[in-house]
Amino acid sequence: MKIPLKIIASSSLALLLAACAGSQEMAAKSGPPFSGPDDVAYAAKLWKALGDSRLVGSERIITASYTGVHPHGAILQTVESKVAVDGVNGAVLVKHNFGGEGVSKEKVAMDYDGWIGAVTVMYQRKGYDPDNNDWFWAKYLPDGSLDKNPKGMQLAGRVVKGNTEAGCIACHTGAPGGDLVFTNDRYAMK
Amino acid sequence: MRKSLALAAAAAVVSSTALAAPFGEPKDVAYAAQLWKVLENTRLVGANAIQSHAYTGAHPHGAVLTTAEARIRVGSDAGTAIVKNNYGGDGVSTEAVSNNPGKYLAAVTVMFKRPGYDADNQDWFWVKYLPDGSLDKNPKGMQLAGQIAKGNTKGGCIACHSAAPGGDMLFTRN
Repeated sequence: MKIPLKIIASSSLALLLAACAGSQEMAAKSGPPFSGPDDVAYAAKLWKALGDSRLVGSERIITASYTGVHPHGAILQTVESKVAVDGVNGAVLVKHNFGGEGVSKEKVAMDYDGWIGAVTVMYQRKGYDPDNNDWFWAKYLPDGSLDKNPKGMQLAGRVVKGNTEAGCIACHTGAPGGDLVFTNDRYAMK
Repeated sequence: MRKSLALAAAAAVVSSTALAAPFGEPKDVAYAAQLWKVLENTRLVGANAIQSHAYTGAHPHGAVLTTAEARIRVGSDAGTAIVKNNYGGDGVSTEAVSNNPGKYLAAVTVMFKRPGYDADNQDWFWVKYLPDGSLDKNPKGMQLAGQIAKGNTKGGCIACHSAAPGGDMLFTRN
């Protein structure tokens, strides 16, 4: 009996695909603390919720600009509110980061879209990361897509848990009040 | 006969307009209440209001301020609303406000660009609310909503904001 080569080829391909799917699942559980498919999908839902609440997007509420510092923009606008994702309410901080050659508060006020560089978000997601006050971190580009680090990893999730030198968590851990927020101390988990 | 009636009617309209104050009238108060509701639904005021960057302000606004703006619709009027939270009191600072805004909120001052409302002054409808959404009053007991104080070049929202660069009565931008 002769087994057609085509069948052998396709069944080994199926085996190979199954193996890949398995290793991807493993990666999601033990892989990087951010940029995984779950984090990316969650970031998309969060962006939608923020748009519905007019905290991002073309209909967004504009607030007072102020002078920022690296790694955020030279000029910033920050809003605190609450939004629901998957039916669960959480506190959110949304920072619009403005920059570019010659940027100033006055110029930003005259042309917000012309100077926007990124939208950085902290969302307090229940049970997500008790070690770090349950913050879900995301860096969006103005169109709502995710910005990437130099390795091409999308910036959404626990950015970067386990790294004490760089990333959102490393720097924000230095914020007073233990809530990883610099502006105030309202968010420490009880 | 018909002509003199018409004249009398015209005279009556003129005199009632002349008597009506440019702000604080029942129609202004009613409109301000409607505006507050919309601002509340947009989360620009009230218990669920967003919180934004607190900065050091100047008289006659609060010692510390936050300012937000958005496009809203009040009845059939679509326009930009600018909402300023005015904070003050003992121990006020940008940090204190950021941690506990409700404790220091003294007033909410609003400009709403209401189409066709006041062509001389960029159509702005001016309001000074207390934190609960009721209207603050001037020393004469007039409620602060409307064209405040049109015709007065020394005191009131319009007198001061007329000096803002760009001719739009806004200091923040043009």
